[in-house]
Amino acid sequence: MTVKEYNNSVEQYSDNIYRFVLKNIKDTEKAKDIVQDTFEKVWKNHADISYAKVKSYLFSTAYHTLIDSIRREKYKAEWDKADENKYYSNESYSDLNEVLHQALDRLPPDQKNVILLRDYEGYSYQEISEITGLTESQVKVYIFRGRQFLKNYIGKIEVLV
Amino acid sequence: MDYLDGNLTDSDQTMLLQFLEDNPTLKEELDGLDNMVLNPTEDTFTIKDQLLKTQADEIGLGYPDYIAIKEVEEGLSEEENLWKASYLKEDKQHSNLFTSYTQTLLKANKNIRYQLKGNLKRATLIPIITINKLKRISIAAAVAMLLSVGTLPFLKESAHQMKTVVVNDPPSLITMPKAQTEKAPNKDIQVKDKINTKAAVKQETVVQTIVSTEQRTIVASNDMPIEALGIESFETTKVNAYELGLNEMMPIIIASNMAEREQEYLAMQSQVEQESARLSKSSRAIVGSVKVINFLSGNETKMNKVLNQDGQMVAYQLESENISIRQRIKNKPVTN
Repeated sequence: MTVKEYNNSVEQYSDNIYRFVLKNIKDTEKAKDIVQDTFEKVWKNHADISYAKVKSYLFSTAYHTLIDSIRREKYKAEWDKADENKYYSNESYSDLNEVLHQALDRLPPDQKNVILLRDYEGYSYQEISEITGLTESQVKVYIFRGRQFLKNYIGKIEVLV
Repeated sequence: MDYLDGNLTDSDQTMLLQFLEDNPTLKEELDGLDNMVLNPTEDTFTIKDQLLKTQADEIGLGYPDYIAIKEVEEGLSEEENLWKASYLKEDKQHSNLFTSYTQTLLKANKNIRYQLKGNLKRATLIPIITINKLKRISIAAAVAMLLSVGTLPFLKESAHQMKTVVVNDPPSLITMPKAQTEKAPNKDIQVKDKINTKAAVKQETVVQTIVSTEQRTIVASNDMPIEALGIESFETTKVNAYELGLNEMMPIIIASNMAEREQEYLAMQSQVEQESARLSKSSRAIVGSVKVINFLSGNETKMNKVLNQDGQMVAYQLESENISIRQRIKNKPVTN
């Protein structure tokens, strides 16, 4: 990948990476740091990365940087709350997409990431598998379970509203 | 029993049949046993479907949920579409399940943008010079700079530096008092040692010239080419800044102190002279008057004078039988 191609990848994918990271950690400064680290790592290896695969490489790097960051901060998903229908919110919801993103925050990191990669970027199971290092069947299981959780969450919110 | 179970070998079976031919009663018994085989019934397990597993079970979902999610994610096969159709026919509310799953697709907020793209972009300064080359050049430059700085103390001093040392000789050497002028040659020798020239004789002449002339003359002569002074070549020596400063400053300070002492000495000399004159005058008057008294009274009077190195009176002592007078110059020690 040439310098020009690298700069193109910055222009094309930095927003996507930033949104992906930001939806995970909800901290703009940390998200910016992770994006910067991600592109820094890609730059160090830019001579060995083909431009055709740079998007996948970027997401993979961002994902692992993100996971490391989350592990460092001992992030804990509130999966149990959702599963037992313990969640309750008296916030007013502007639209369905916002509600969905709130539900997304309650998913474990792995499920959350694969759904984000699937819905935001339209990656296939195989591509998500390559990015995350999970097996293809694991990716599928996470997505299906995540979708069920989101559906249940929407249903409960509708009941509450 | 082994025969009925089919466990006999061919040879054993031939021998058994031969034996049965010889014993017809036993053969009839064996024929009765052949008819005692159980045949299976036609019953079938009718709820096999309940045991069948699908990928929904693998994921841990109910089959309707699995089909609804699969429709959103991957699309349904023909068989699954048939199942969905039959499922929807069962209850119209089932369609809500499929609608709910279509709503779970997330949409990215495109308004969220990364604002620091400029920081991430890289630039190529000159296509020929790559970043690696630039790094190598900068490292080489840094090493060269360090080496040059590190070897500075080992480089030979230039003739110009040597000239500067001579120019800075203190002017006090010229104005030293007479008593101290004897030390000037020593200073000359020190300067001469520092210079350490090959042409020792010629150098000595130059140094003497510097000492005996004014500062302006020295500067002028130093501005002249070195060859004009008769110096063929200098061997530079390493200069200790502290030592050099000390050598330059100390003569100035010493000269200054000596000048002050000289003035004090002169002032003291004049004072001693005045005092001595006054003392001589007073002593003569006293001696005269004492002699008169002695003449009248018949006593004998002695007078002792104390003189200094220059022969000046600094004290006197007058003694007779009835009187003793001691007088000296104030605040000055008197030695006999």
